[in-house]
Amino acid sequence: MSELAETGLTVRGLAVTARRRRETVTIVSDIDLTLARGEAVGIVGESGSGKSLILKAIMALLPSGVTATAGEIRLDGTELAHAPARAARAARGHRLGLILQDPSTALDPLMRVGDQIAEVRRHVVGRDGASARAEALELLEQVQIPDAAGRYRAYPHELSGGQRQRVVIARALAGEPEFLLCDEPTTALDVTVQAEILSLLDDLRTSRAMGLLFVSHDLAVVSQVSTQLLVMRHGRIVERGATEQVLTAPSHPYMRTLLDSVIELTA
Amino acid sequence: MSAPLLKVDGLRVEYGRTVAVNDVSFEVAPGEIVGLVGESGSGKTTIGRAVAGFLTPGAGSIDLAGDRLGATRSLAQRRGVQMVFQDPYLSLNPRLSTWSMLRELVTVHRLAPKAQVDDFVRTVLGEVALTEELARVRPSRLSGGQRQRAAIARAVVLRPQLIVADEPTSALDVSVQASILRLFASLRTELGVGFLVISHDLSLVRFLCDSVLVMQDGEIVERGPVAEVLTAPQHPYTQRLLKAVPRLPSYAKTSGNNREKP
Ligand SMILES: Nc1ncnc2c1ncn2[C@@H]1O[C@H](COP(=O)(O)OP(=O)(O)OP(=O)(O)O)[C@@H](O)[C@H]1O
Ligand SMILES: Nc1ncnc2c1ncn2[C@@H]1O[C@H](COP(=O)(O)OP(=O)(O)OP(=O)(O)O)[C@@H](O)[C@H]1O
Ligand SMILES: [Mg+2]
Ligand SMILES: [Mg+2]
Repeated sequence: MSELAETGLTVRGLAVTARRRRETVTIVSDIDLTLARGEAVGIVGESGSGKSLILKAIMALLPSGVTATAGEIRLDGTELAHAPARAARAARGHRLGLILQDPSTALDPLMRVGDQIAEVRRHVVGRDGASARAEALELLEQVQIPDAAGRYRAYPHELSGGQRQRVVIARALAGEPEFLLCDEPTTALDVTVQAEILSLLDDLRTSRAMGLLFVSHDLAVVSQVSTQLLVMRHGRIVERGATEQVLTAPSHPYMRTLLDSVIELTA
Repeated sequence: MSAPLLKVDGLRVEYGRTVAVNDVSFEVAPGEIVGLVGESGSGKTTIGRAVAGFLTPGAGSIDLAGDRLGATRSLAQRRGVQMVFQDPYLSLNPRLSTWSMLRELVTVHRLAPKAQVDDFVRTVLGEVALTEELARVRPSRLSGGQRQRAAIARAVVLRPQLIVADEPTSALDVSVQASILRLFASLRTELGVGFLVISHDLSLVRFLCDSVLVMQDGEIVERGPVAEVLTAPQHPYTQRLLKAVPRLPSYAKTSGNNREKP
């Protein structure tokens, strides 16, 4: 192996295509990114530009009809991409965690939310039933769920949108991933709870050296969370660099338009 | 002031022993955009669902243009209030393309003569910035923001009197968001549509809404014109909320030097 020293999560030349009415369309191409442990990389970009599918490709969770056709995904130098989906997911083990954009599809509607988190503590971290349950409760408290003991026993539909989103975050954290891929993780949270969740993620980034890939439409949030920023449009990365650099002197016109509309809204 | 379009009085909703909404009263005038903000879990979606007729309140009344809305609603009453759900996925039939869904609604509610149904559907797609190509695929094959636009199209196609929009732009980039805000503004000025907009995005509320209600623990703790509440908040919760708004770092603001000043 030529890159013995390579660590972290790397994506090189990723392309994803989909079948749409008998045609094959390219959804994303030429995607390169590197995420080191303890680092936070943000992704912003046009709605429909392929952000969510990149995260799903990394997790080997692409929906049917959608395929990664080129490129490689490596974890500490070991290639992950081309195995069949089930084996590919096993190879990722639980070193990668994903927070899906759509919290309702991420949870089992028929299982109490606390048990869904405890299950991860049991199967992934190897805790016995009692400590798994106790730690699940702690996680619910960490993500600021009020009356966590009572809500442990709730089913997903009995929670508010923001409470559900926090359960999804707690469940992803329960697996103690080395790299956490977050897709719009705070859209349903009021700004005070959002601030708590962002600081929790940042604590884990520094204390456990968790790598964070953070997709968001909220430029203010992304600028707080990430040190590197990727900007996507039409399935490609059109701009990349240090977050401060991209926000201070955007070179791509799309990024400039984005910034201008935010500034107009907040003026 | 004109007669209210929506009048909610003494609304109370319980889920088992949880009181989710307690004695909430407010009004929306025709063409008015009212923002509903507040703590996650404070009862905002619950109020929206009660107004749109998806749950029966434990107490209180809901009137639309002087017409009492009960537990069962006529077709016209149902058309009158439309809701854009916080979770678009749950409000869309995963197997029905946006195109077919909109066609069906236009036909059932007789919103256009047969020969003009497709044109009307195209107009609505344009309003929500969704291409016809994307409208022809199932919602399960759309991105989060595309799905959210399909859910908005579902509400606006009916040209209702009142739209309850629950986090309607949370999955949209700011430039697409701008087209949705323009759409809401034109529906209110041209058709007098009233809006109850639930959002965590305070700059959006400041930009779009006339007045705002702030909720905590099932109750409205502060209300008033946006310009007052969001500049000089009285209630400690509103004050905390405003302090926690994430801001673009100051270095970003220097970049937009070639834009027009409003
Ligand atoms: N299951 C699917 N089958 C076919 N095409 C899909 C599928 N899922 C998404 N797409 C298409 O792929 C493109 C990228 O989708 P993706 O969900 O990655 O966008 P995104 O950048 O996350 O957008 P958003 O910000 O709106 O969530 C979109 O144009 C979408 O229509
Ligand atoms: N079906 C249900 N059964 C029991 N409790 C429920 C149910 N639906 C909501 N709740 C509770 O009612 C309260 C209000 O929920 P609601 O969804 O109205 O909040 P919200 O203000 O919309 O919050 P968010 O901003 O997180 O979406 C929450 O505490 C929630 O846990
Ligand atoms: Mg997405
Ligand atoms: Mg809600």
